[in-house]
Parts: sequence; C-alpha cells; structure tokens
Amino acid sequence: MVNIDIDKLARLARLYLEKEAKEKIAPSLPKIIEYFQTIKHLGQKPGPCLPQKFPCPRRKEEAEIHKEIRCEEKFLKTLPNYQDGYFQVPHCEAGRFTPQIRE
Amino acid sequence: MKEITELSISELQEAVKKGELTYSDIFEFTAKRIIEEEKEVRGYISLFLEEAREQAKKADKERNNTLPLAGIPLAIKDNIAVKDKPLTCGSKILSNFISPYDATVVKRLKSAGCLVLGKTNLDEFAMGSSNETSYFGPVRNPIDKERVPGGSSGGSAAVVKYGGAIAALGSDTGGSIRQPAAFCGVCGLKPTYGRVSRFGLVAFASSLDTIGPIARTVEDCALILQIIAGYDERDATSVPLPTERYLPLTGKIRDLTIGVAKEFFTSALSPKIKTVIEEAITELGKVSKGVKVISLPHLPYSAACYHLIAMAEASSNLARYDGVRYGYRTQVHTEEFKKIAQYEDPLQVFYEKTRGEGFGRETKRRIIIGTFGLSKGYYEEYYGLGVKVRGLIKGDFLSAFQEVDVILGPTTPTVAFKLGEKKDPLAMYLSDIFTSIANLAGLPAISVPCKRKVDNLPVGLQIIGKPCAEKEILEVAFAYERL
Repeated sequence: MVNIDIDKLARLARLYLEKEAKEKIAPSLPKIIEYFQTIKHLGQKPGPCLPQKFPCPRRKEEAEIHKEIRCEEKFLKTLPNYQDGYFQVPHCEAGRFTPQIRE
Repeated sequence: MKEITELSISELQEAVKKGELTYSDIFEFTAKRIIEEEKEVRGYISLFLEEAREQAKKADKERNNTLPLAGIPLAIKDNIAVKDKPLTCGSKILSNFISPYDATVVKRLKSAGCLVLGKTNLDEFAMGSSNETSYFGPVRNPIDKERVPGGSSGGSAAVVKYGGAIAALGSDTGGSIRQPAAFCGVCGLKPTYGRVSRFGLVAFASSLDTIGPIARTVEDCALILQIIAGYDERDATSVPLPTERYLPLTGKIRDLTIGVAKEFFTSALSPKIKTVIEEAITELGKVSKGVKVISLPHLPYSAACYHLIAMAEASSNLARYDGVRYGYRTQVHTEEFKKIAQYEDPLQVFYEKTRGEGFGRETKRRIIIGTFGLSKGYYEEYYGLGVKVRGLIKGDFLSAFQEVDVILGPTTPTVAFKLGEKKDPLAMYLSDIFTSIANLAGLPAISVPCKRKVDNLPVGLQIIGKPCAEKEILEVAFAYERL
C-alpha cells in the first residue's frame, strides 16, 4: 500500500483543500495509485524507452511548407498582441471584460 | 423531402442551391431544436443565436458562394478558443475568461463559411468520461435523459444528436470524441496526433490532445476534417505532411485487410456489445479483403498508462491557473484570508485559495495524483514507467500494421450508463479502456454507430488506422454506414 501525504501533495500542487474535499479525495488516491502499479512489471521488459516513430509516407519539402504558411497567414491574423514578452489578454474583473483590439 | 437532421452537409448545400431550403431555414431549425431540448440536455454553455441568425441571412444573400460550410451551423467545444467569446473549459476558474483570438481550427472553419452557434458543455478541463464534472452542470443524453452522454465532449455529441447543430468540434485526449459519439449514436473522429493544429485548444495532456469533428454522418466528418487538417507553424507538434483528399468517399475497401485485436473481447466488454461488434466485423469482412485476428498484448494496460501520463501532464499544464493575470481570483479582503495570511506567505495562500476554490473535485484529484507521479523519488517509478509502456503499445501497433490495414473493435465496454451511477473514480477511468490506446500511439480512430442497438441504446464501432491514414478509416466507416 502506497503512503500518500495528501497535505504535502496539495501544498506542492498549490491547492487549498477544504476538509470535505480532502475527505472525499484522500480515500480514492491509494486505490488509483495501486491501479497504476499494475503496469509496474512492464518496466522490466526490454523495449524502447521513448515513443517509437512510425514510418512517414513523405515529408514535406521546405518550400512547400513555407507556401502553406504564407497561405495560412491570412487566416491567422487574430493572434493577441505582445507586450513585454507576454500575450495581452482581456482584463477580467467581476464578470466584466475589456477585449483587446488588434491594431 | 427528408428532414434537415437526415441530410448531410453536402446534401444541405445542394438543397439550398436548388432553392428547396435557405440557410435561414437551417438555422431556424437548429435554433428551434435548441429551445426545445436545452432545458434538459444542457449541451451548450454559451449560445450566440442572434449573431448566427444575422450570418445566416447574410449567407442567403450571397447564395452563389461556393464555400463548403457556407451557412452551416456548427458548435464548438468550450475548450477551443473562439475570438471574443467565453472560453470556460467547464470550470469556475475560467468562468469569466473571454478568448482574445480564434483557434486555428475555428479560423479555418470560419473561413469555410460556417456559423458558430455556441460553445458546448464538457467535463471540467476535458477530464471525465460522463460529462458530470462541469461547473455548469451535467449534460444529459438526448436519447435517454436519465443517462450520461459520455465525455468529455458530451455536449458536442448531445447537440449534434438532437439537431442543435449540424456538426461540432470536440477534443480527444483519451477517447473524449469517440466515447460520447458512441453513447449518443453519432460519428466522432480523432485524427492522428499533429494532423490537426492544437493552437487555441486549452491544454489538458499536451502529448495526447487532439481536435476532431463530431457529426451525424461519416461524410460530414470527412468534410470538416478536410477543412481543419493541415500543417500549422503555431503548433510545434503539427505534422509537416501534405493533407490527403478525404472526399469524395467511395466505400470501396476491397484492397484493405481488417484486423481484429483479440484483447478487445475480454470480460470487460459487455456480452451484448460483443455480439453487435462481431456482427459488424462479419459484415465488413464480406466487402473487404478479409478479416485477420491480431494481438495488441499491451492493450489491457493502456488505461493505467494513459491516466498516469495524462494526470502528470495535466498537473503541469493546469499550474498556470493562479488567478494573477486572468480567470477566477479568490477574495483577498476577507477576514479568513487575512487570518491565514498572518501565519503563512500571503502569495502562497492566494494561489492555494484561488486554485482550491476555482477547480472542481475531479480536477483536484487528478492534479494531486499527477503531482505525486512527477514528484522527486516517484518520477521514474510512475511517469517514466508510463512513457516506457507507451513505447511498448506503439510497438504493438507497428507489428500489427505489418499484417493489416485497419483495426476494428468496440468503442466502449458498455452502453451509456445512468447519471450518478459510477461513483468510484477508478470505475469511471476504465470507461476509456478501449479508446485511450489510439491516443497513446498517436493514431487516427473513428467511432461509427452500429446497425443494431443494445437495450435501445447506441453502440459504437471503433476503427483505428495507421498514422495519417484518416482516408482509410473514413472509407471503412463509410462502407459500414452504407451496408
């Protein structure tokens, strides 16, 4: 049986758990972790550690990709503006919002 | 003339061109169905009917335009960004968030002329298989309102079923398009990972997430996929391969060998569903090159592997919701907050309270388990193990596809269950047992309704294909639909 310290995990996950939520969540955790352990024996099997690549029919030529990107540019002009290295997002306060208008 | 709900998108366009229908007629029909059904089904979180009505009128004025989705009312799952519209993910923490831009898929659909009717309900952050964990209330299955529509794209599947949209977009991380499609008796397609851009999709488990169509017919799924598929430089995992022509579908599958994985037919599968699926396989066997029994030895471990990886990635992806820049924020001027903040770091308390109040119970459970799987001392034992098993599952498919072209099986182990029936979270996680394997291997898969029902409820036939072989699975699905 795995010993799970729910308070420590909640702290790590930056989650405040009320008593009721803790009582509902805590009992299910060991059962779920135990379920995960059903695949433990597969860890010993020889096999690839990383996902394998499936053979691809044909990779695109670089020029072909660039042509497609240019074509998509006109569809994708709605990206939010940048400001100080961040996306600008609508300011939300008490249910109201001010959408950013792209210049 | 047939009912609007019996017509495919191309048939609707044909009827409009002939003057038998107008786009406003199609819109008014869907709006009427929404008004009739939404009180009970609750498939939508937000609706933009007035805007869509105006767009339908505009489309009628420009009836000669040749856009494939001109005037067609579609619904979008509420974890996909639509500019200037709410993007809640079925969560309190994003309940006041308005998207500042369109997702690539939405941009493409809009450029094809569609009307966006509304945003559909889902399990909170797409975490669930029953659509019971949404902050906005559960969705009910339009076929039997005591039952769940499946999840997490249950809202999308439900509205398509009752005629509240001609088609919808969903997202599939472990079966979230195919499972609700099976429960509601519609078609749902999960494309190859990277085939459709994820730009604008709120991340749940980034290495598994995909966007795909839910529609009444296989042809409609193919049409929507044709529009949304393709390389996108804004998604680093987008596949740099040319998009195939999915239409027209012929249903000719004489040169395709059908594989049937014996691991699908275990005790977990309801005996009645087993019979229905076996009948479907026999029927398809007659029109294809033949049926071959294959083995996917790691299929029984796929659900455990999927949940391990998905929860770890979710705990990392959901760390961004802290109430600082956007979304729900806890009240900091309360006596309770001030009292706790006296003894602890106020910023940590602010984060914890915001997230504790903003997330629902199931999301919290998954974040906690994911945090456990990624924590020091357990990382290799859990997340590392999940990645290794994922490699083994891919290996199974690599071997299987040496012998066959597509793999058939059931979409779900049971038919739609009753609301509140599955109280044990582990039992709920096992609903994804047959679908998550395609996500782990990044393969395309489609669920189509079987000819025969079980206890008057629909059953889904799942068809899994090789990477980027969406055309093949669509052809098999189309052949079955026409049988």
